[in-house]
Amino acid sequence: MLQYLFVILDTSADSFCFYKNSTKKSELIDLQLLKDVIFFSQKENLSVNFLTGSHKLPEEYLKVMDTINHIVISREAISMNGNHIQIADYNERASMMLQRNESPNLILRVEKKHLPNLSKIVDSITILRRLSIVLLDMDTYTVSDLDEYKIQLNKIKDSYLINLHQNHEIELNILSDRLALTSMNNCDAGDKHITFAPNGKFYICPGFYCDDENDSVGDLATGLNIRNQQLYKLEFAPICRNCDAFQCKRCIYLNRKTTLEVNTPSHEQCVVSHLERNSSEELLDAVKILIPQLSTQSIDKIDYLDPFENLFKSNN
Amino acid sequence: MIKEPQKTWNDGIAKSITFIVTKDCQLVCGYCYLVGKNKSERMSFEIAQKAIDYILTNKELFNDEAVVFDFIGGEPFMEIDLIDQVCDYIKVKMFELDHPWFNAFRFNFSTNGLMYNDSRVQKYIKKNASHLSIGITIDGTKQKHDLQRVYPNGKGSYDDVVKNIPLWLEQFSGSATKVTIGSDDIPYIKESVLHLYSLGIKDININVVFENVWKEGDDILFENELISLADTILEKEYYKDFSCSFFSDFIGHSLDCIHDNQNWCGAGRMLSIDAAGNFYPCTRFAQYSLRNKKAIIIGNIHDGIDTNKLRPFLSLDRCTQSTPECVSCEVSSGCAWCQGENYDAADTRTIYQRATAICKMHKARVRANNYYQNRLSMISSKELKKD
Repeated sequence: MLQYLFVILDTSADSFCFYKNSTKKSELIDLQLLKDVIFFSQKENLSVNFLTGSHKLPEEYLKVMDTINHIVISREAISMNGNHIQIADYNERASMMLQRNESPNLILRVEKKHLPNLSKIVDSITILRRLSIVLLDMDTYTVSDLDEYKIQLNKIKDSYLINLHQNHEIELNILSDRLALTSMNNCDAGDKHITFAPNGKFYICPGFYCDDENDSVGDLATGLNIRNQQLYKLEFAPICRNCDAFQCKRCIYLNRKTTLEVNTPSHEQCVVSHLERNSSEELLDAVKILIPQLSTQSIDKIDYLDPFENLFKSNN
Repeated sequence: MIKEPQKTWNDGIAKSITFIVTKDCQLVCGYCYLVGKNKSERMSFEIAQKAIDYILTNKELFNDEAVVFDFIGGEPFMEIDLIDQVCDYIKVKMFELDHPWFNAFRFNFSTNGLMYNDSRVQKYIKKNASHLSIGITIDGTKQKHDLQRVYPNGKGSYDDVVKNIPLWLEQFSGSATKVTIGSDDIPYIKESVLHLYSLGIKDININVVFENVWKEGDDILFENELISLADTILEKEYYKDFSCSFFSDFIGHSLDCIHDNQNWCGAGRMLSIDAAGNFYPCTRFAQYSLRNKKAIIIGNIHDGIDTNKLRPFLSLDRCTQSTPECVSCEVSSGCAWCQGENYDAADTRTIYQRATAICKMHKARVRANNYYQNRLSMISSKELKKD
């Protein structure tokens, strides 16, 4: 059931996830269209996330946005009514800004070339409440990149524990999310959320819009038309439905890009998620002492990193 | 004694590797799913050689116990010189590499039979006889065969094929033929199967096309035709020496999603290579086989296989791709599908949407098969009592 709607306010809206938005030209969504999609969201009971770009939002837009409860996802450290999630792409220039980060909720997109410094990057950021790491180029990760990620996760785990001992409890998507989860908590594009673009059309997620504007799934006039919508649901994903890497992004966009099917993750996505899951498993016992709410949690030891291998064996 | 259908060589343990050597054919069959046949896309020896090198040197990807090298077209024997050269290369390369497949390989052909008595084809057959299987497609009576299997000028090909059948059966005794049934063919099923028996072909692999060609009432006609065929097979006791795949004790049972959840189709477990050196999960995913969708290319001879693109095929199961009606169907066993047709007919670019165009035809087949099996069982028990 749909619960969320991402509304892209600007054609150049910054990516907050794995996709790239290479649109240079910044064009705002038509004001009437914005009013219409808010009306749609109110009727459908959808929580709204607004994605902004380089275009400064006129006052009249801000007023319309404030007619519905919402979250703003933007690169700018702006203060708005409602909640705000800040996006940053890691680079040397951004590192100073990140050290002074005051956003309670930060999405940090990290390119593969920065992977060997990931733990230092995480350590250097002033995390107020939640840090979400997005590993860009994940689809190109080699065996040695995955080994490096495992090393970095170990270091991040050690720092996380030190912070915890100092009563500084933070949320780190790649490590702490799995500790508390008891079922899958994934991307769920096409099932629990969809995206509305400045051209007035719906898309499975912003990545589908940025890759191909013709790949829409309806508009406000004709309504949503998500064909084969069952394939966006967990139970129709054979590799994922019995998996316990509950924090996995299970990114629908990456699935389609790498395997051509929205319900099938790549090997790299599975291994990344299982390295994270296993780090959480190693962390859990130490954390239980400090966070009583986790005392009944358990994560089993497993001997695989890609559940596809188990599925393939059982199918043959 | 009831004849069991002939089993495929090393079925289940042999890797199937298909060379699409040409997209050309002498015929323009009415039911042919190859919508993009042409004269220009012919495989070169260099492309085939690179494909073989890749396959034989990547044993971790190709670790099956045995292998069947299929050569298809269009009509494969139009490229017999290339095929001869390729097969020689495969044998030499396997020997040089001390490859486990050297003692477990087969060359396989599905041919329209027109060139079967060609001297070059015959020379090839003699050279590779111990590692060869060849199926000639003949659809039945002249009337039925010529209804679909015609030259571009409309002339039927029956006379040119049937003259080669005795030589084929002499060289490959016990060979089966493949018969395809479209809507217009239904009235000729019985006489065609019996005709093929009379030619000495003992195993008939026969199926209805998966495409959505069926007209209102076709299922009833089909059921009646099969019941009439069943009566003759039983009365003349053909079941002792011949088989017809429409009748089987395997079909028409309910299936569950735990124990009977296997995918029907082998796409992804096999590999097809075209003239450009592209790899496909099955020939049906090459562009010349697809009406509505883009080809699914899973790699090429230069970069190898992108194993991520194989994951959807290898994790696909019956229930995930089936409609709720198919999942709860009480006669679902034996209801087949073609992954390529599923993909081509799907509402989105997915292999996870099962095409159901044959639903009524399958149910008609089940009713006729039930009739056949019930009568056969009575006959068998009477024979047992006599003994």
